[in-house]
Amino acid sequence: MIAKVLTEQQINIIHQKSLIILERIGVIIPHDELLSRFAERGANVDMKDKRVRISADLVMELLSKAGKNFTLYGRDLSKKAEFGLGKRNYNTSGGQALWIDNIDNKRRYSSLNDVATAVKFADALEKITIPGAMADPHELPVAWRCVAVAFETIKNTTKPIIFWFHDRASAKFIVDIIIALRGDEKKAQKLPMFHPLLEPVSPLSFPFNGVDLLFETAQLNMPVSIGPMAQMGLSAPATIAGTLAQENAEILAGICITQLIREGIPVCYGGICHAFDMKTTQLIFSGPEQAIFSVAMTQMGKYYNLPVYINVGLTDSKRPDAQAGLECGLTLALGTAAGADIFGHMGICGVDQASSLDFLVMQSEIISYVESINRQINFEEKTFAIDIIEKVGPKGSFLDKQHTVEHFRNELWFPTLLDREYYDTWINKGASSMEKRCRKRKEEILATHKPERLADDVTKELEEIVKKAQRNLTSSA
Amino acid sequence: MSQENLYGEISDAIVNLNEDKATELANKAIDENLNILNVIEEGFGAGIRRVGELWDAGEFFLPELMRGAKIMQDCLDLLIPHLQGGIERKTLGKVVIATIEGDIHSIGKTIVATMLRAYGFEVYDLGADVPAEKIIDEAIEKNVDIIGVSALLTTTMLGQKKVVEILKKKGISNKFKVILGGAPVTSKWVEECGADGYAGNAVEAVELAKSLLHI
Repeated sequence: MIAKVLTEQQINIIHQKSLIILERIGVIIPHDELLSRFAERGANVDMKDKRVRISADLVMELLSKAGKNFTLYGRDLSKKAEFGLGKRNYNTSGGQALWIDNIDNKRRYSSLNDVATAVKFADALEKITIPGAMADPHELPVAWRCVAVAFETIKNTTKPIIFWFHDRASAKFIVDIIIALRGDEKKAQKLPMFHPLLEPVSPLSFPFNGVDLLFETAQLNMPVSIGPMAQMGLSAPATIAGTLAQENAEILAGICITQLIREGIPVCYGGICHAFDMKTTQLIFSGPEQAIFSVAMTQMGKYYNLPVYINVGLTDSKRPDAQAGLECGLTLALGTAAGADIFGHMGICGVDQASSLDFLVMQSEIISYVESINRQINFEEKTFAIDIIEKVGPKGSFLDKQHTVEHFRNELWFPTLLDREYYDTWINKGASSMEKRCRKRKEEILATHKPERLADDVTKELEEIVKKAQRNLTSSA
Repeated sequence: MSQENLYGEISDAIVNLNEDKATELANKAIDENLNILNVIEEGFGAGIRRVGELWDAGEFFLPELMRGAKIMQDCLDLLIPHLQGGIERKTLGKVVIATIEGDIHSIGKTIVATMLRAYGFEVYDLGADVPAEKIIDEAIEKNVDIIGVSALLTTTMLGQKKVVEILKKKGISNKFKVILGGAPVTSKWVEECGADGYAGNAVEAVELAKSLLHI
């Protein structure tokens, strides 16, 4: 399946407009060392306003240096997330402040225990390539929180992971963690397990910590995703085209930053702009605009030959209900058909309102459905079955034919949670709703799945790193 | 090869949906002049029961179930003429089945007929667009236990009621169990017609037929 919303000409126009934005308006980067590096390369830097205007030539030069593909490896090295290599990856949320245990309960602040539960859960879900921490434990001081979260996440899955980095000081301990896990620095560089997200603050500015911490992760040439959440009408123009051009400019500026820190760092193009809701006054996760944005941004990212990350498969609904199914399903189907590399973040209730495993179970089913849509149709001669059609003849049935037995399992997708029963059978089985089935499946997974344990000596080593982070970083908290 | 081994092989051939092997073993049983009744019951019958168990466990889907039933039926067609000394094959019961007059939708009814056969019923499938009177005449002539009437359209399902009414008028409704099926049919409709049972799908139909005959 192929989805496109931009013509080649429109892609080029957006590209040109983005270059004009960067050259004429520029971006704010409150980081002196980086600004000096921009100045060294001939960019127009205003040190007082922390503002840099970047010429089209410099943008294109730095863009050409960026790594265009990379692979994240789990504890189990066979569990990989490949970016820029034609694979589709799915991650759960990197962390939410709030948590919902059951849909009908009120939300509460999330804890480190929720991280363990969430990661263990995503470890069990076949379609989730990269489990995320899903919870941002409020009980831990921000200064070393991400170090503890990284450890908790690693303990509970053998897959590659995602969580939120905080600053340079804590990133140093996270770098220590991956070195300890892989054995030495060289292996840690060769086999990354996680990577930071550089999130420009739209319009056209960058956070100090987000930039600063890359100096630490760059030592391992760790890949970086750049994803600004420009909001149409609020932090970007109130037009699709204008938002696309600004979002693209912000990503290009982010890529320039990574390449000035270390040339060759692999990057992922995070085209995650959203519409802003003029009625509720908050961001919209999954309106029709989201499908357009995601397909368009995928086209832009692929124009630069980069791996692409988009926000699809999400919903504004507070329950895994009809609205959720519609929004997650449609945006994910289009986003995957556009050819992006990674789709997330799964397991979120509404617009970043909380994390919920009930949603994640539903999304896991939707991913499976959408993956099936994206299949290649088998066109082998035998699939046409002309001789079988002849044998069956008019008015016959294919059901009891050997050809049917041999092919139906490959051609037909089987749901785990969707209901397709006869009416009476459905009644007899309890007349359940999708929400109920999601909840039941969630409880089954929670009760049964145990991830492979981290070796005791490694656990001890990582525990020491977390303790050290706690000691060293508490004073600055 | 001992007979037990042969039964096991036949049963495996059915479960593996291996038509060539099943046919070969059926011919072997004929050539070696074995007790055909035992071959059917303990070989093919055991095999199709295992297929049914795999269906119940959710491991087999409809094509595998139907394929197993079809292979078994083809082998039975080979074996039955060789039943020794005119011994009649013991069956679970006799069923006449048809899609009612005015309705040409036969696939669902055919699935039910195949399943009933596979599970050991003797089935007379009269096809589609069959008048109620004809179905009853056949039921009387073949001395069946169960009459199965299928209808896919709301316009033709009235014919199902007609079957029950004619039986009552003739005073022979206690001689047969009447079961109804088809997309618009519900247990409420079955009640309204005064028929004996309703099944939502082919596997339920087998269970229904068995329970009506207290098997």
